[in-house]
Amino acid sequence: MSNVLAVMPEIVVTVVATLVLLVDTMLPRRAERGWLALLTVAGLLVALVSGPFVTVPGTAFNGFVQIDTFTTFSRVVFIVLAIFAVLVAPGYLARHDIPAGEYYAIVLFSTVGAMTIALSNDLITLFLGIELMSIPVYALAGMQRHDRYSNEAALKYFLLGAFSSSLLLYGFAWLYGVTGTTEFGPIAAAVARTGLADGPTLIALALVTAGLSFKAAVVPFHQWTPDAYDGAPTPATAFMSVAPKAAAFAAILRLMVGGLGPLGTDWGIAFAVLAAVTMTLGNVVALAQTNVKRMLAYSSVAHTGYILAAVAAYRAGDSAGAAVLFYVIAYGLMNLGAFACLLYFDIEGTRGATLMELNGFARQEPLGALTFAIFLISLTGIPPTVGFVAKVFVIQPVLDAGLTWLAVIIALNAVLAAFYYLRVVVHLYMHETDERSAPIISERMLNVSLGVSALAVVVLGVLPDGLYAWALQAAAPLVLR
Amino acid sequence: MTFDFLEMVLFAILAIAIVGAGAAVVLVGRITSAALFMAFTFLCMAGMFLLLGAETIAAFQVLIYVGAITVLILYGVMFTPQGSRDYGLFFQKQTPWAIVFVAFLAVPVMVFASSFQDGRPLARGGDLVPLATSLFGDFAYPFEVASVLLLAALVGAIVLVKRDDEEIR
Repeated sequence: MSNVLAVMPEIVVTVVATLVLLVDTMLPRRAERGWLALLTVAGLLVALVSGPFVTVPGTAFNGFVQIDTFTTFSRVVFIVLAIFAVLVAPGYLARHDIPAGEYYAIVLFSTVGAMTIALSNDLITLFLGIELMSIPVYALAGMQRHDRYSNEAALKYFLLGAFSSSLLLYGFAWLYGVTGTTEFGPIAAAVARTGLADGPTLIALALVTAGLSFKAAVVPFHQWTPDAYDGAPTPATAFMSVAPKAAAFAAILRLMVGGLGPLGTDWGIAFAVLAAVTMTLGNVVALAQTNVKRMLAYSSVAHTGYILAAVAAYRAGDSAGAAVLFYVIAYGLMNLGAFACLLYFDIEGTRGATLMELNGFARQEPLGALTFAIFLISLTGIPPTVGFVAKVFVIQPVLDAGLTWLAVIIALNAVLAAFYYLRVVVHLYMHETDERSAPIISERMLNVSLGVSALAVVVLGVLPDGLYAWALQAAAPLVLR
Repeated sequence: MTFDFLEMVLFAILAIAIVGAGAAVVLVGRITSAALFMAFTFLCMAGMFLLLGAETIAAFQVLIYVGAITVLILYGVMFTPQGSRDYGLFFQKQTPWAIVFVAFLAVPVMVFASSFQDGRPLARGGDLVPLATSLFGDFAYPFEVASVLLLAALVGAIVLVKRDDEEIR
């Protein structure tokens, strides 16, 4: 019984997913499906509340499941992101004839997968969680079936996702071969004994690093990102740019920092280099984009680099883990928000608005433009937003870990990024509406959810202490002592 | 002693068959032949499981992979138009690179894989009971997550291929 209680939030989300599917089949074909979103959100809220009240810290299911402060924290992150992703979707789904019930169910399934990653204490649970998180998202990318770009996005995402999963699984097989166990604790003990001296461990480490880097879209494993984000239906892009990335970093924290922590000196430097390359390339390519959706896709690659920098600074201790978690939340709120702001523009197909099509948006929809501007300013990293605080929290452990050069690169990249983010704000506010501007849609649910998350971005930017303290607590159990 | 020798011989035959048929799946031009070669690979894998003393898993391997999945793939081939294809996709022109990459990967695999420790050997008397206890007892959570994963994949697949409302009417 205590086993079942330990994973109650996951069970609740799974049940809600099947419930949404069932209710959807009972509705008449042409019925209004907007309130299915509310049912989904209600279910997610039940899961959110059930977490702290029902589950007890400790391991469950013969050591496959680990409930600790990190699990609790990650559950909240994934559920909150799913709630926002569901709330911004209904209008777009109805306009583009995307099956709503399946859409919400798939978001929920993916959320269960992400939550499973966070509670994994074993390679098997971790791998199943990663697959359960990513397979639904492939379908999500292709849900606008009559759009060629959506098809392309789904196929590319699926093929490269399957490829990266096989790399990862092969790495797990090597890891099992080397250590003779799939549980993180004994793996850490085994690699601490052997170190990297023997070849098999090196092969396992390389394969696992490459596989996880694919999932998190780290350069040079990022090639699927722009096409997948650009071609997917915009609400799906909003979800898949944040939740799978948060989940990938949960996997990196659990496996690399937890299970393979004793090899930290080896992967730490690799991650530091990858982080520098990732943020620089993401930002430089984003500079050249005129389509805002594609620009945000490249900018999300750049943000992967910032988060990875904090992982690379693992030597700084809990503050590095807390920086990853804080940045993941900040990134989730502001990036989901920025993609969702593109839902204001009624554009054929899945393509996002170009810079010209944003002209004069502030005149027609002042509040919408304000939220969009807040998200962009936060993505740039300007105070008083959460994006600024998150960058500060990342730079601190990077300096503590002695990676001064990486901190300098982060700072330079923030300046580089300011150019293309603020260019969007210029088009929103300083250009008059003209014949190139896209028609605008205003919906209550979209307005409210974007307003709330923009408010959260500012409030967390002014008062980050509570969340940061919680993130510090959540990072504590990661390092297996 | 003789039995060990026989086991080695059987293993070698099966291993060569698996790798050879696996390569044939990728290399032969006709997709039906590729599917049948894949069935042969699965069959040899079942032989491997038998060698390891896992009779039930070998039976499942034959039932599910050789039986169900191969038939499914052959049906898929039957239902899709198979025109002659005189072009090569990007990845089909990368044979030299693929050989280099495989060699690069295969050498360390051969060198290191033999260094792994043995797992715990199965107790004699059939593998059904240990299989059931580990699946529904020890591995209960991964087993359940896998079932949710299959459900999610099913929903995703149906969403992507089902007909539109207009087409039904």
